[in-house]
Amino acid sequence: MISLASPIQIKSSKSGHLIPQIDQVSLHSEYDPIKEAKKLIDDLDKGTLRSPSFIVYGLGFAYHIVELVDRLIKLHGIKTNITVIEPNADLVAAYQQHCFPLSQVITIFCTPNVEELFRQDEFIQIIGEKPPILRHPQSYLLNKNFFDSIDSYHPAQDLKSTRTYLKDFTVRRELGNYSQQAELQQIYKGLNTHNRWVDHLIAAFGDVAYKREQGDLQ
Amino acid sequence: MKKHLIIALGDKEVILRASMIVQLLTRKYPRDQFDVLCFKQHQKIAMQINGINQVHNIDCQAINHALDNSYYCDMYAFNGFVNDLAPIFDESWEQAINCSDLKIAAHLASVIHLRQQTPIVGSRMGVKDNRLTSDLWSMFDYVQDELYPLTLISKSDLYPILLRSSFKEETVFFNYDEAQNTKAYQLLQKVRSANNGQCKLIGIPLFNALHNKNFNFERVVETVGELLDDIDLFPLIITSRNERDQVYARQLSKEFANSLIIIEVDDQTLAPVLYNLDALIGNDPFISNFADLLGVNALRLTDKLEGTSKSYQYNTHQLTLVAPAQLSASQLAKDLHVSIKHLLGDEPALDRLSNSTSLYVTKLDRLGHYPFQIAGVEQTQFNLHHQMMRTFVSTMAPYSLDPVQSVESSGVELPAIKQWAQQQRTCITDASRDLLGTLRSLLRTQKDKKFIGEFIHSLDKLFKQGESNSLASLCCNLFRARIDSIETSNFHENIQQMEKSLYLLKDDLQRAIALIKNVEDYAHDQTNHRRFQSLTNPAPTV
Repeated sequence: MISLASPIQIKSSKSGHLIPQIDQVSLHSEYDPIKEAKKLIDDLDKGTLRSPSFIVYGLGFAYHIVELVDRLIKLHGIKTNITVIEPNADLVAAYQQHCFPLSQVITIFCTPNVEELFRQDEFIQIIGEKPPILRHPQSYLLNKNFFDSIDSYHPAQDLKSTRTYLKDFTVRRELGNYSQQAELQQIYKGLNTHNRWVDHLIAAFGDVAYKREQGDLQ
Repeated sequence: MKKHLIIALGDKEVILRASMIVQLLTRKYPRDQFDVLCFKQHQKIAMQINGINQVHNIDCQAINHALDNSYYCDMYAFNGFVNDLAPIFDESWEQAINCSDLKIAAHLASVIHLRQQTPIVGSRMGVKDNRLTSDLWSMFDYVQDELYPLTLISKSDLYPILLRSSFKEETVFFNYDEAQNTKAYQLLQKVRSANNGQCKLIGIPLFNALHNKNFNFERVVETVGELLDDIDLFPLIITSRNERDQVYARQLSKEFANSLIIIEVDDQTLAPVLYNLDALIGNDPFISNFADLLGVNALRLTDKLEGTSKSYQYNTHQLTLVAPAQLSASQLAKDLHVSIKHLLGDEPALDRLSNSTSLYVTKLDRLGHYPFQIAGVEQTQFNLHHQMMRTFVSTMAPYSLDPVQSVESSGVELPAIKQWAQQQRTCITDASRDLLGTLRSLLRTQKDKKFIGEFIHSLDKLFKQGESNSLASLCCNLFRARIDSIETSNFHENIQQMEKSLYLLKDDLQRAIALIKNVEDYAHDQTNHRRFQSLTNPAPTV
């Protein structure tokens, strides 16, 4: 058994594969992690595999991911695209230390903070497409709250929380004139008068965004 | 070097307006630079505008994509919108010209005006969601587009007045890639050579064809068949890269044993292809107007003349065929055939036009371009009304039209002229009555604010007079636009400006009455003249 400074321990399965353990919980089968991974993917609904993109909750030592990549590459070739979300940075480090590098079709997002995850444009673009999600059972059980928060995520819309998205400081400062609890859409709908240029700017944006003013724009 | 911004947010047609404005401004300010702001999907066509410096764009699809993704907050999309506009906000503009009808454009004009103190030509939004127009002609442009069903002054005639400039002779509106032009020329020459060498190539653009009720599949099939039967003509189907359009075009081709030639174009190749055609048939206003600016013969198909209200009519080699929706496909095909022959110089062809359609040519008078009927079902009442409305508008323009000539050019019989004058008088009487009522309640409100409700009620009644299609309604709509343009929160100033606008309406109505009087005098003189003639040359008795 190899012992790390972090609470991750790495042991060998009966089949001779390395498997990580966190808090005494093995993240893969202690007998044969590859067989277990094959079963996990076999149990997926056939229709699900029609999607070349997947999100995987939990890295483990990636036996399930390697199996998924193999299947998807056979079906979709270079269109295959897998996004892995793993909250435990130590586990990612352990994987990188002990295992082969992952295929280039795999992107790992590693953060324990859901808000931070949803600040990443690349991640939002991927999850916004609503690809199927593969939950690695052991990782999911270990980080249930984290993964459930992703499932139920709704972005904050109030000005106070979202103003920092704006890169233009002049506009950002002008937004300070509105109630910070208000949402952009509420401000747009409540604009009875346009006294300032920023009122007109929000009205112009609202006409595109909330009224979808012209069919041709869609 | 000064920079001017043209706000051209809207459909593709607005890009054509921008191209006219750029040419007029280039003539007036030859050393200055001209930028265009448009939606991203029209960027390619905007970049072809002759003399353009830079095209800025708003990516609506990116905004909508971000909003459709429930994981993004709306501020993310707003940030994209602001980023798109950053180059506009960072620049110092000599002026911004808004040629779009959309509210988003008017709001952005206000942003530029308030944030950068840039003068605006055209309309912008005011404090209370009202339209502010820069001058009488900008107001007229807005009224004509939004409130009035007919185009009285074409954009190509209005913009020179608005911008105090003129088009130079043989203005080039769009530049296109010379290599693409050569390719289009060679391709079309090959088609000509394969079809007796001398035949004229007639383009039939089919964009969004599935939604085209006026020129539906059956009508297109009949028209193509009719043109194929004429050895001197050869139809070419022009389609987009849109999959649905291509399926439609293939279905059409199947009807002719796959013998049709289908040309697929995009925004960059459309101009070279149109330019190398001999003529064009279609009912897509953008394509027809684009062809017009390129100087290509175009036959527009419409089911009512009002439908062509947004046409620009820069050139006079344009025909408009007005065909009712219930006209059979085969008859329509025959009439289109006859009309296109006429457009290509075969004058006698017009004798074969059916008695179900009307054909109009674009003519030019002192006020500008207008549709003039040359054949088919006589729409004399419409022609008279349209011409008289234009004559009324011309009283505000630098060049006025002669009312008597306008009446005579319409070819309307005396009883119909009298009837028109009577109808107009009735409308003006109604409008004048409501005007007086509004003035009275305004005076009461000036003395006591409690009458404000009564005043607003009278004002509403007066606005309703703008709903008909008459000289009075045009006056009332101009009045409404003036009221919209009042930008003050002070009660007394507001009332003063309203009073001023009411008196301007009174002036407009009096000018309309003077015009009607001219028409009535003409009708009276003609009646007397005919009576005198019948007395001096009595009909022979048997």
